[in-house]
Amino acid sequence: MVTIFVVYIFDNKLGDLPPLGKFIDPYHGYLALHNSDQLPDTHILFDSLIDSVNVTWDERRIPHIFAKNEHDLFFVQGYVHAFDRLWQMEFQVMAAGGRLSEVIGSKALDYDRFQRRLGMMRGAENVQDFYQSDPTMLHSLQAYTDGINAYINSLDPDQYPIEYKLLDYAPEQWTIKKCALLYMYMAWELSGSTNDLAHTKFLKEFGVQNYRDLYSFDSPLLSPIMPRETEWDFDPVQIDAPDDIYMSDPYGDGIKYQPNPNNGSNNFAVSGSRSKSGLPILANDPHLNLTLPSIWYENHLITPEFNAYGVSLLGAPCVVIGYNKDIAWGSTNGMNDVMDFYDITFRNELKEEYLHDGKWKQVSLSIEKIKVRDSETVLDTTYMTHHGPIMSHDIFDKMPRFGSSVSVGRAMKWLASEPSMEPKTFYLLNKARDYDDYLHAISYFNCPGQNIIFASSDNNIAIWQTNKLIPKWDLQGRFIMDGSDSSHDWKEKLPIEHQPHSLNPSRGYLSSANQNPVDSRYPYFVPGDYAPPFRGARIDQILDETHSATYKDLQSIQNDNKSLLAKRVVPILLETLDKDRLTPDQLEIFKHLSDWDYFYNPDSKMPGIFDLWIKKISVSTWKDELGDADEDVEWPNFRILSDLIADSPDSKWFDNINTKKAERLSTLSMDAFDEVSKKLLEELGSVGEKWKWKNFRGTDVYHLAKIPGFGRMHLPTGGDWNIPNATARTHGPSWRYVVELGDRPRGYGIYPGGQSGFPGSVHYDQFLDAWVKGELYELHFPYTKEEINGHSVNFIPGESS
Amino acid sequence: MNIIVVCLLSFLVLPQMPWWFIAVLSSIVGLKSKGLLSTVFSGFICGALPWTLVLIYSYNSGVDLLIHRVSGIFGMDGITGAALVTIAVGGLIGSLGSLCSYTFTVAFKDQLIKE
Repeated sequence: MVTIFVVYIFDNKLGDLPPLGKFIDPYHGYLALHNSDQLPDTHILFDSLIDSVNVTWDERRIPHIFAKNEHDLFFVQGYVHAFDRLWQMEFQVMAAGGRLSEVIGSKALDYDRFQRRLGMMRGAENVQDFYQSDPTMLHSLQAYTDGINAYINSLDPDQYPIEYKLLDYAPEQWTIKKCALLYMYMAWELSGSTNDLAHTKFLKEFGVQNYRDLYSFDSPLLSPIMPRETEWDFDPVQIDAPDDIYMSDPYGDGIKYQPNPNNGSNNFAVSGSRSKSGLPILANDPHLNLTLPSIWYENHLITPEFNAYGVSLLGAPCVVIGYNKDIAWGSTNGMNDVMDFYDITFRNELKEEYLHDGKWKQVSLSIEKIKVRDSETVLDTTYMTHHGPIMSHDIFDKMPRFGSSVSVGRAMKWLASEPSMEPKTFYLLNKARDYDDYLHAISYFNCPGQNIIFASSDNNIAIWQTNKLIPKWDLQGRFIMDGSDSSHDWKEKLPIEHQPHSLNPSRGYLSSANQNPVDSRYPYFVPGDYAPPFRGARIDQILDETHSATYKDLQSIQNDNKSLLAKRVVPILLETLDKDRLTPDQLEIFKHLSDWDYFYNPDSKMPGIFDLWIKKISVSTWKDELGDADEDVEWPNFRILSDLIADSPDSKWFDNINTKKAERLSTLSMDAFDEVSKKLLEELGSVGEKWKWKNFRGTDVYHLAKIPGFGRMHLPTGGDWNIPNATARTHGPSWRYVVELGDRPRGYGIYPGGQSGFPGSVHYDQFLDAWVKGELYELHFPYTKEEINGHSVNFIPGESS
Repeated sequence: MNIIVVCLLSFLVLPQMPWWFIAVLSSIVGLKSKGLLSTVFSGFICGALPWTLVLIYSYNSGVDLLIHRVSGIFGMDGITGAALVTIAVGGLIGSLGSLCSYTFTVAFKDQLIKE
């Protein structure tokens, strides 16, 4: 009995423990995978292929897929993606769709419920239905899906990727719905954030003028994405605002599981007037969570009508960021506020009807089944209004304004829940030849809002912010709105030509770094959680001085480590310190800070203390009035703090309301410096090796499921989120690339990972060390298969092998 | 002698059988074992040795990177973590397998003596 029991234990996953017996069995466990990254033989037969396809993998294992038609191209792309990254592509969409409980059990139930209530699964189903209206996209997605399934069906259970063995489950068939879920996942990663509750709380306590002071978008420091000289040559649509700002009771829960605020990106392009070749150069580095396997997969797609190189998302066809013979494109997150919340007044506690414009509207129910591993299936009900799902319906007891006789909930309106055709944008960009094709392509993009930059060999550069613009009155959507008043509802989207954009500006370059897209001259209110202006301003500062540029100049901007925030505030903060109160060691730090060039290079010794110092000042400035920063409270960003430091050292916000003394910047700064410098001296000793930024912070790249041993820790990086090289501890440039347009474009790129998702492969983290150094690989861009050397495999029509 | 036979048998049979079959093979040594301790010991060897030898062979045949990463799951480097877990699990299952047959044999013998 004991033996059977122990065998059972080792044959099944228990809690976080893998099924150890199965896993370590050298014949069927992880060791059975030792050859699993070996490329296929010289030919493979597939009955669903129309014609033969050649795939040649170059020395970095980048597949160059030569097909004679699009069906075969996407079929083989699906096969190749699954070959290298099957577990990752399935795990991502299971997480997005709220299905993790099926894999890891009831501890993922709260997460899954949240994903379901957000509407990830409903959204994917709507999008899947929407695809039916476009046969071209439907066929592409179906071919891609068939390719993935062809690979899955070729696997023996012993060959399932190692994560399946550790988590003890098996891959299931891929579907088009999973492609749609992938886009929902990206929409959530890049636009699924809200601070409406936090801002409403602030508004209630401090009023609208203080709100405008501390959360405004425009600033003299801002270098907006669309150059300030841009003329808006259209008649703006009239937007009627209510007389008063609606004041919700800011109680209840905020949105938890928010995407990481470090998600951001840079892209920039110089026109021929600023390049050595006389043709544009384009660069892009999207900043995302850094994981192994990486979010991106590098590939090259070629048909007689199609020649696109770049990175793809695992689980969707085409190249997402890259270039073809004629154009190059890249993307940064728009950071627009596309998620709003509405107070909902139910008729009674049954929550069957809710008030809207004086009438009672019917609530609909969305009931979803959540399968739970080793447990019973859970049914989860979401109450739906015309705004969207009720995300929180247990808050009415806390809302004194309504009294206890009325039941109140809060509905979420999110742009991503509207059916849209983002894959078509990439499909058309892959084939685009000029600016008009680019415009047509981006017209299909809705959410997440992106700044899609463009350059073409006919010497155009352009950038458009792509999500369909919701007309909003001043401050609309910054606070929780009145769900019973239709004037607060989202109205018809603005015409596409009203969206922020710029084509061939006279200054000869364009850039975006998640900052405000426009200045206050733009005729619409475009709210968003924009990045402080320092990163964008630094990029523009360098571009402004760049002439006769080559790809190396743009590469050096991607690796630039200068902090304009530090440059702005460090000299002022040093002035606030009373040197007579400093110890000899603190005076040594003072001297280092005085001599600092404001660079966050790996060997710089001052970023660490500055980082702690400015954060401590931020805490001392805001915490007493606003409370702890969390989903209910958002502190103003570092641009606002730097404004106060530079211009208002006696600001009321520096005063600690909990003391009788009147504090000023100098008080806060001195106390903060004293505290953090003593702490660092105690932990690291006097200024030396341990103070170097690469040792102080560094970067950790975890495995996607945080499996210990499968990540790479303590990488000696420079950079930080407020500077062009936005490498942070776990976030950073997830794909750096530069393209010089020309008769034949020359591309250079790298991502922090490797092509294979198999941890036992040398291709698993192959590019990481070069990425840390800021290097780029030259990308092979053959027009024919004869132009590329490597392991070559023919996929041939015939009875599947 | 039995240990060697079981180990050789393991190399032939286990590639075609599920992992827990190592318990069945290890039970062979329990049938002729002379005492509890020697049963546990020889079962442990029969369970741990064949798997560990394959692991060591794999590590020296170019699968070192995979084994190193698997060791990382258990907080160790190189082959150490993977080897320790392999020895522990293989040994435990082998010991239990041999103990099974040993107790069965002892009980059967007692039964015969009583009869």
